[in-house]
Amino acid sequence: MSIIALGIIIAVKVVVILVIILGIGAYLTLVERKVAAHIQRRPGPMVVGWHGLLQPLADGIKLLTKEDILPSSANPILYNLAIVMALVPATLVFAVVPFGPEIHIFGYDIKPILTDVNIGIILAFAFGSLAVYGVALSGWASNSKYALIGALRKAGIIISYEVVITFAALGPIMLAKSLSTYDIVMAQIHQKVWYIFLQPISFVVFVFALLAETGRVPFDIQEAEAELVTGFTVEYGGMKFGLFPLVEWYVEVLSLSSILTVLYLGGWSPLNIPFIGFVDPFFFLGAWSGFIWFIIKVSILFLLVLWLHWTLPRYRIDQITTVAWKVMLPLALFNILISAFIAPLLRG
Amino acid sequence: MAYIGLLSLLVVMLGLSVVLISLNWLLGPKKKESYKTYPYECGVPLYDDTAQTTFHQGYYILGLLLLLFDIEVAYLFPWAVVYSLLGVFGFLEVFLFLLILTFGLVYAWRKGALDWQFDLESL
Amino acid sequence: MQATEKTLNEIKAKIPYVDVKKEKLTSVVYVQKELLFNVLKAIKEDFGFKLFIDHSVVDTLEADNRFEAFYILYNVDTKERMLVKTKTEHALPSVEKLWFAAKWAERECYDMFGVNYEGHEHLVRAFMWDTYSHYPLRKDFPLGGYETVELPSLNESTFGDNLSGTMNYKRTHTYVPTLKDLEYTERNRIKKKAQVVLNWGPLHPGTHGTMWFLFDLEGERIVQTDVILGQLHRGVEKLAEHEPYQQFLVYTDRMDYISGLCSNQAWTVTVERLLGIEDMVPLKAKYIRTMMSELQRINSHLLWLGTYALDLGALTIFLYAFKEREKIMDIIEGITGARLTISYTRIGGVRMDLPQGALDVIESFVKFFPKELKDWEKILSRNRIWVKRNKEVGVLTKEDIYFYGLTGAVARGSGVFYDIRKLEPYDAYSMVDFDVPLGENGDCYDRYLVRVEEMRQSIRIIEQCLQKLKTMSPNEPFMAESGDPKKLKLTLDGIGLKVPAGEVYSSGENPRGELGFYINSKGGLKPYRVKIRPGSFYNLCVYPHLMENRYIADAVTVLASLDPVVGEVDR
Repeated sequence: MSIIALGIIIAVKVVVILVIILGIGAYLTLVERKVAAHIQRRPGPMVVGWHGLLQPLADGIKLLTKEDILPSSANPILYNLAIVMALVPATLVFAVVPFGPEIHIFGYDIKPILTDVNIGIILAFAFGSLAVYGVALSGWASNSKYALIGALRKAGIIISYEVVITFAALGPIMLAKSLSTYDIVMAQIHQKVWYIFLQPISFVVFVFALLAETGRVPFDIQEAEAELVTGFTVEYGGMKFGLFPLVEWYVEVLSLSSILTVLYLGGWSPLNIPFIGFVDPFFFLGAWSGFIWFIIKVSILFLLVLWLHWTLPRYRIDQITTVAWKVMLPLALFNILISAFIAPLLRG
Repeated sequence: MAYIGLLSLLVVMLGLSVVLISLNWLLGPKKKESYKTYPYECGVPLYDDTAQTTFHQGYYILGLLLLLFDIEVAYLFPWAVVYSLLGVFGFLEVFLFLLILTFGLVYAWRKGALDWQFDLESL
Repeated sequence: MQATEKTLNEIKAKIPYVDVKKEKLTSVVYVQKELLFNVLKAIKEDFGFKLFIDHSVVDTLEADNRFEAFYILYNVDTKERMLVKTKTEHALPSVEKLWFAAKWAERECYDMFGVNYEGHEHLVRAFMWDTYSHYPLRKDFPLGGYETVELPSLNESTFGDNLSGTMNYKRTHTYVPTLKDLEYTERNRIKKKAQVVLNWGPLHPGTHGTMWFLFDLEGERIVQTDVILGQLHRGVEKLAEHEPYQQFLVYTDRMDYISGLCSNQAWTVTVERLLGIEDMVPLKAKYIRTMMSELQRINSHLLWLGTYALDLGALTIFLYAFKEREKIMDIIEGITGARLTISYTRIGGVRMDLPQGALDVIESFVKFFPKELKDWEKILSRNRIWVKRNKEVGVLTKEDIYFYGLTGAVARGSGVFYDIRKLEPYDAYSMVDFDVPLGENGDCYDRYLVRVEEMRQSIRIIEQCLQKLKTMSPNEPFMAESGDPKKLKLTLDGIGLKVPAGEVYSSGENPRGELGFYINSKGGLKPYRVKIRPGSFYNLCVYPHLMENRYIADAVTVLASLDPVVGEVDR
């Protein structure tokens, strides 16, 4: 391919990812508020736009025009660096997520994945681990006791669930015999089974780790309003404050849900009957139906996360780490044992 | 070559985050008031002048265990990929490895290292 | 009821150097101040008066021995109440070794009267800041305070000397604490032993009101903690000395602003007992007061449940509970005219009769509510996370209840049968049938279950009151008629009501604890001294003990399960 064509393709993919982060991420705030409101028997945002559809725009404009206050005892460099460290790695995970099957446009074969390397999963987890820096730096740099307590709690949770998530992900990797995200999906399609049917324990452990890494109830101890008044973001204002929940609650949930879809739910493949085949109600769209299925699966996972958020109470910090090391980790190790027996039975 | 996409996304995101941070400084009002930048401690004077002091964290030992287990998982990744080609020998070797490390986990459990350390000197 | 002649004679036989007297409404034991500690110890341990109700001081302005101190004690087994009195000029021995609740009561007396307590571990002011130099409840302190400071208002700063019309107010005001005063108070209250002292302070969404806690932290563990109260102190007891009895009613529902009707009822019953007209109150008024009080109890417990779940993270229960509260507040507004500051009862009855249709609305609410409660219990009571957060947290034993003077649902959660509605019945409580739920372990989970079950028992009481009220005709009187208007003037506005000399202590079962009123009257239109015994104040005094060596996350759980309201704590 010529350099120009390559450049255009990469530019388009980068723009798509940016649209997902800023555009869809912002609109997910509206989705969350509407779902929360309906669970609580009230309508939610209704004023701005038809049924509140312009609400994220209004929120964005409000946050952008707030005053930029630097606390008198904070470190300015670390204070601003923390946001960069939070935002950038969370979005880099999208670079290894395959959104759909290979499509043919204008004579070019394009895989809708920004970086198709054979170590995709390792990159995804590596970028996820960098998320702890943004949190810990912001807590320290703010020089406020509430920020410090909240940030260090969150850091404790993230390091506990790092171990759990990587052990849980070893199961599908053994079944797929590859570390590339694209190849894992192709393996599920060739073997005609979604790995969730073969690895239910690992799926549950991964969902727990997803809730903990992204700071969602029941693990949102770092910003328990009754104790810590928004935790480590207490000294931030304006767009800096807006970026933290955007990254933590929406972008990270989306990226980890995408990884979960790739690993367990067969990526872009349609409805699966194990070992028999696939059923696709959207067959008339051809290759583009894969994109629709990917979006549907990620949305269902997101709605599940929202459902849990607005119903359950939250755990205490020592109970969270106890659950991670004493329950989840042994389950993940047990799952590796089971996968070791299943893996040679699968062909391809 | 395949990483060019990743690098371009990295550059774009760095630029975007710097822009987003400075937008507040560009667009927001600037009014100086006396106690606006005072650290938040529920509206009363601070008891300690600074929060950047020693603060005991009960998961310190868990951080050390994280190091060990992350390295264990890093060793397991290549084995997981080529597992099917290795036969029984591969299974037994690595399971011995995992068994030793699991024994370490159980030892830490029994010694109480997996609980949140509430006192400064408890283990 | 007050202690019997038999008990008083037994005390006199055992401790010969005290004087005992059985008045019309109280049983009193007089003792010299040097022997006070031993007498109280003997009464507590040998005669079973283990529960500490209250302690305060009356400024009698006599030449020597100006202050008369009283201690109110209760025997839960024999249901007897006793007053122990002593006189002093300016110092008293501290009894905090016998009851911890006395420590806080003594801080309050030191703050308000200047009485010095010997042997007190840390005698600081309870409500005012530590550099305050006056003693407000003394009789020579004026009602408006000493206006010494010029504090220009916004109008004065903007317009200078060109104030016009109604803007021409006084320039001098009473002294207001500065940040330096607050800092001195903060450092005096707690001496740092561990790494960091955290202000869980007055402006915080998690404390139920403006309470100021100081946590001495080592990581997540709280090594010691203390409470600074007084952010909402309005000097209600000083105001009571200048208000006629009926006019003081409006202050009572601004204290515990969540259950105003119960506080109104407690004050009205106290004055009625002092006047001796408890039997003259018509039956209809008694049933109406009981029914409204139980509605207010459900209201208050719903707010407690909503904020408790909100603090622990289950955000949806908050909105469900408040929806039900809206229904109750609409009912109360339809009957009394106000949602929050109600003042519906009058000395001798109620303000007005129930409007037409009120009984039907209450009946439909009563039919619908238990099903809702059952739905919420499915979300919370068996939820694994909820149980893990609440079991074994904040355990109180029966001895703790007596030592800290705890009442209300907190006492019942630990298994102590202490319910004023059963032990000292007032209004129609002796005529209705209800159970009192008791807990077993005394942890937060038991207190939660006790309060939820109390809501169901309140529904039962309301149903019985409804049945009775339906049989009464609309022409029945709702206000007592005085037989001799010259001696006892009972009107709806209460002007001219003269109360004979005497003293009384009477209490009502608020949703938060026991709200008691001690009235010392020297005859006339206005009381001489009113001491309010707030349930939340003594329920809160166990908080530093419960929080030692616990985690910050439990601070919220324990505080929510004790259920304080700052209006009542600070008065």
